[in-house]
Amino acid sequence: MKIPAFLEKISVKIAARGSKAAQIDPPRLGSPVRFPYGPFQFKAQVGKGIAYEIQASTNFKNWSSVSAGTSAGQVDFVDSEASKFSYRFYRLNLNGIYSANLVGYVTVTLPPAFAMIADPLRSANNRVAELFKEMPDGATLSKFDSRLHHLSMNKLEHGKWANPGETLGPGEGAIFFNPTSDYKSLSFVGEVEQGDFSTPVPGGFTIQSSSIPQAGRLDTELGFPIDEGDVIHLFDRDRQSYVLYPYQNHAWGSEPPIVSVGESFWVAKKSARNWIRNFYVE
Amino acid sequence: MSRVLFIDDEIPIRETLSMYFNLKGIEVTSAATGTEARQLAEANIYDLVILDIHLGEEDGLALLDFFRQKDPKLPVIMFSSSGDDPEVIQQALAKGATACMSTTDSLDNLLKEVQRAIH
Repeated sequence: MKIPAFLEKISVKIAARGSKAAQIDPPRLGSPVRFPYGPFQFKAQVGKGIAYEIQASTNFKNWSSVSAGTSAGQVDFVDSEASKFSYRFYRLNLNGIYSANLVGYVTVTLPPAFAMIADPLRSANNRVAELFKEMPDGATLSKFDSRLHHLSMNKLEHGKWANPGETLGPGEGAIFFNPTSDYKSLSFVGEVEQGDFSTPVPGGFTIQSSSIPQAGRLDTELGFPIDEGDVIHLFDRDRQSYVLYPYQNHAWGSEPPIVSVGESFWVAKKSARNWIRNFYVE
Repeated sequence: MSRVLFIDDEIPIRETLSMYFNLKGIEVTSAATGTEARQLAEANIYDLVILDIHLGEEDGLALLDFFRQKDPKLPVIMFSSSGDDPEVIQQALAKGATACMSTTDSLDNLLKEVQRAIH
């Protein structure tokens, strides 16, 4: 993955307190946490006395200021408005110097029975035992083995996952089973990946998801490679049934597939291709 | 535990439905082709068969004939998709299919149909 020039170490001189010139490196945002009662928190090391602004976005295009102040050595931000958004991403602005990374959260709703989910955020620990630790007994997570043409089953029983070390990371997809009659909520937290991505999409059936937490039309807005004869299967969480989107005669049958943030999907591809994304936030 | 043979070449539907039925206490064996289904049917006993009307390049109705001749009492539910010809569905029912289900039905409705056919 290529690191964009603007994210490489930037040293600029800005006027610091007492009009003495100081060098500022783009800070890294870390320790993202979503609390059970809703707020989202992250931290960053910022030199003492440096003015900062925290910006938030849901689409990486429109950023709004959510906090500002002067650093005491560490910026410790808690977004108490986080529960109003299904997903939100953050960056730090130090007088025109932006943080080297973006962090955020994605909340997915898990209805009774099945949902096709994805974790589009890079985190230090994306093991199932960590990501799904609040789920009820009887929950299952299934990934597709494209060699055996079979869905695996990782089940939570007596508070323990059968395969706690299984991972779910950006670009992957899985089917989650909620055994209760209640809707559950699950939050993923971590870093938004940036750069040039090339994800192999093999021929035949696979489960895919966007490596970047973006919603939109699969082919035009998310850049998924679609060819004649391909079929996309989206799972309707409310109706608990599949909706098929065949691509024939260079067009979608009725309407194009729209994918949500944190959603995965099946694709039946006639031939292998690469899903190429060039994603940089400027 | 009831045993179901599910014959469908559409992996997402076959795998998801099989998993759902298994979680609900119904043992499902799946097959993607008519040849595979015939071999399984010769070697095992099933309480019900779910059969995709449009099984790739194969004729689902011919496979229905096979099951009807093998065991006339074995319930066979035909599985259709929105693009399937209604006449073919009528032919399947005329040939003795127990019921027809659609891939667009909810998983819960499909489960109820299977439970009704088994018991």
